[in-house]
Amino acid sequence: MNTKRYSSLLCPWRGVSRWGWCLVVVVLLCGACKKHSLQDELDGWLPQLTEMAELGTVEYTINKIVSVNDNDEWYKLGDRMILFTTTSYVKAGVDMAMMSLDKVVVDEASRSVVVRLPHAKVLSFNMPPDEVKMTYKKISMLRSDFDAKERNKLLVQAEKQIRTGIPKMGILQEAEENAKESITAMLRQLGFEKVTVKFE
Amino acid sequence: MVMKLPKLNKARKEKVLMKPVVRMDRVGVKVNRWVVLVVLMTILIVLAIVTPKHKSFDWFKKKDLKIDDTKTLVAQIKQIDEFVTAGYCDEMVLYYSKEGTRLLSHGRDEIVIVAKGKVRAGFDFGKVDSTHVRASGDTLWLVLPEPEIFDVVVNPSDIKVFQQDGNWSHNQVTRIEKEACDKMKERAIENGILDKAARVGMSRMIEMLETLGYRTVLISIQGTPECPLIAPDQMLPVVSEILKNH
Repeated sequence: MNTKRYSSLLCPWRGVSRWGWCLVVVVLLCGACKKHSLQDELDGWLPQLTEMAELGTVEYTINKIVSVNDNDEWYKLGDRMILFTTTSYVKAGVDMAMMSLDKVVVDEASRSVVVRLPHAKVLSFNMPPDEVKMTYKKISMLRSDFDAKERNKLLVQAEKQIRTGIPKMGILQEAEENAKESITAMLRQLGFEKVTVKFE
Repeated sequence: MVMKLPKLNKARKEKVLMKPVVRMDRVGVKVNRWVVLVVLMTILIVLAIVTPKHKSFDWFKKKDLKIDDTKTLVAQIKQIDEFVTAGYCDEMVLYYSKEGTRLLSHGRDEIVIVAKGKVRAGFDFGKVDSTHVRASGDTLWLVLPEPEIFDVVVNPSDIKVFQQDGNWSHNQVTRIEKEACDKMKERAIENGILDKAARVGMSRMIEMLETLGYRTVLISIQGTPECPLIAPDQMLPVVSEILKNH
């Protein structure tokens, strides 16, 4: 009779314990992997107050619809879709900190002035959280709901799409025209008769 | 030439004859269980390292959802005259918990959000009109409006949902994010963003106006004790700590 086999039947945990210990070791090794901590997120970011000198001359209000339909894969049964409407505010103008005051040429005799400004740029992009509205959602019984992480990722993609399209909107040209108009009006008010504004 | 086989002694002969070469009921190779385990674990570890990097095994990965490519519509274009002179950058962690909504769960639902943002403040030159400016020879009087906060910028890319347990609706998360914006604005004011905006703004204006040929520049801020709301021709020339007089 095979006594060894008979004893393993009566005491099954004898054979299992070695495998069990191995499983415990593997689980502990996996758990020992470095996790992304909250401290990692906060390191390197300190609150700071900074000086600026930006003249904002135009603001665009941009609307965008964000839609997702998650049923592309054959194994996904049921509907899982969501729709947001978003409103963003983009401001453009001239960064006066990049302007050198040496480039302002004043002729007191003729009361004329030539001002050279840097080209306009986008100064701020703002997609306020309360302007993001979820207008439609459909989740079937067999599918899971969109969690906060997933919703945020979708909105990040929308933000990226809007930012990519900003240069084609003509906002920078409009900002330069408005800056020219604004500065000309201000300098005329100060008594200058001939005002020339150039961008370089 | 005939090769002679080595002679086996009797004991060895018996051992060779008794040893099974192949058994049909199970594999005749006796291998230590630990060796099998080590080999299996090595294979698993190698697979775990290699497969995520290999394109053929992409179907193991959960794919990120892509949004549809919809049009971006410019709803409004507005001319502004904002002179931004101070910025405040901040980051905060928001933790909220509520009654558990999950089935078979006795714990509370929790969410942790990390939000970064920027606050921008300065002067609205749209509020400056001819009554706020007066020039006489090489002296200029200018009354600026009170500095104000123009934007609190917290975009989706500045927000990270660090941890989420349970169901949190879009409206609930939006309220938390809005609260982050409000707290950031309060912190910016506590840290003196409006004072900084005023000082930097006045300093820059004086530099620019001096470049334009004014030797004496008197700037004040509307509503401050040093300069009550009075007409420029009655304005007193004592105002700012940045006042320069050649």
